[in-house]
Amino acid sequence: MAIPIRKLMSGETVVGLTEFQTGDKIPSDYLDIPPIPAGDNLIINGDFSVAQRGTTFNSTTWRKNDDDSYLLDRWLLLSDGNDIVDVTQISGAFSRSRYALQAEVETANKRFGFCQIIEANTSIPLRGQKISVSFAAKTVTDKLIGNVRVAVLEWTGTADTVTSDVVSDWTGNLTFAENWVALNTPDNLALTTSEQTFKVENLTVGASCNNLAVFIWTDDTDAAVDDILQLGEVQVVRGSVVPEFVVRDDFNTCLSRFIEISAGTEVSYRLLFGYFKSTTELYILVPLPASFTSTPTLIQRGGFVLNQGVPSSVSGTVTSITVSKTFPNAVLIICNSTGFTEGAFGALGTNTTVDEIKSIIFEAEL
Amino acid sequence: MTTIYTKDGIIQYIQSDDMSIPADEKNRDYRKIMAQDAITPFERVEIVEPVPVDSVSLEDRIASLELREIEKELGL
Repeated sequence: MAIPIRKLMSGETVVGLTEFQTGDKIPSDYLDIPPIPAGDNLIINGDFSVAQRGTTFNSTTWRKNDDDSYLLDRWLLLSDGNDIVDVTQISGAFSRSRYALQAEVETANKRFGFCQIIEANTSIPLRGQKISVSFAAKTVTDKLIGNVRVAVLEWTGTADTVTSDVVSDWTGNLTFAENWVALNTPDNLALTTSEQTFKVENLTVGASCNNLAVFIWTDDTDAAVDDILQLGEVQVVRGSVVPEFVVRDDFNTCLSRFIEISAGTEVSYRLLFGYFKSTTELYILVPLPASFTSTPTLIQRGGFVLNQGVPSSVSGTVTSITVSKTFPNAVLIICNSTGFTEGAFGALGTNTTVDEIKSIIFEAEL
Repeated sequence: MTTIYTKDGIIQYIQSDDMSIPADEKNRDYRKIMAQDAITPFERVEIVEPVPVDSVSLEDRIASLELREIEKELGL
């Protein structure tokens, strides 16, 4: 007697059917693969629309275009040295999304690429299953970059404790860092000045995979200064084929890795409030719109002071700010200075330097 | 400039330019600094807890001593 048919889905498309007989062993391809809703992209910010750190990155921006640096949200620049490419969020490059990433060569003849590491919570359930990747790319007339490559990598080290610089050696045939293994054999994909969508389909995730990553890079070593690569519409999906790319608003998801509390260029502006636990420490419980899964790095952009009381009776320059504890939707920070009254109300405020962005940033990327 | 702050020899946090990095193995900045530190160790600073300020003022102490001297003289 025939057992009801199982469907292998990709988006809303049935890509496989099987009819099992009593006693049949179910092929792993057809085992408990749930339907994938259209647009179920495992990549976050696949359209490069979220740009909390800024929309332009070069050697003088606050977040520099260094190797192994997170620039557009969740996307890591990897390059054979620092200041190899300037990175910009652009618009209008591709037909299924508003935004894209543009890399403009600053140092000739060097390899570079962009990587996104997928969290363990998303990657581990994919063990033994099929995944596929696609992305859009093109180059620009008179600023031609010849080829790109794509690798889908799996990490078998400790979950979410990855080596973010997935490339250990850029020379010759590129070598990936220990515990990173490519699921596919990357080949050159020839770029033109017209939009193309490249696909690598039907890859099998290994049984020990803890994190996945997609890495798109140019392997050419003949790029001239000002040559341009444009990337967009990146997706990794569960299934043996990729559906058409669909834009998704990932801003809130990006907040679990990066949050900036900014005063803009305001001077003498009280930004966060707390109390003096001692004469040198202002404790502030900072409510956040998302939770961090690990203790974030705190980045201080611009100058800050501590103020005691309102109106301020005592103030002093901040010597350090540290994250003391992480809570769901909050972090406790300790701001240090001297000369305050224990138990007094206080605020972390901006200093009087003009034309300087002043913000407190929490960052906990993979 | 990078400085590793410790308490009883245990890393509490790392200050690297404008970044305060927690001592958390899951934090990528911490792992990167530790990888560099293994090759060329960064400066380490032991955090010294502030000594609690005595709540008795100097004037009160002098007054207390004077009172004791008077009591001695009176044989109390």
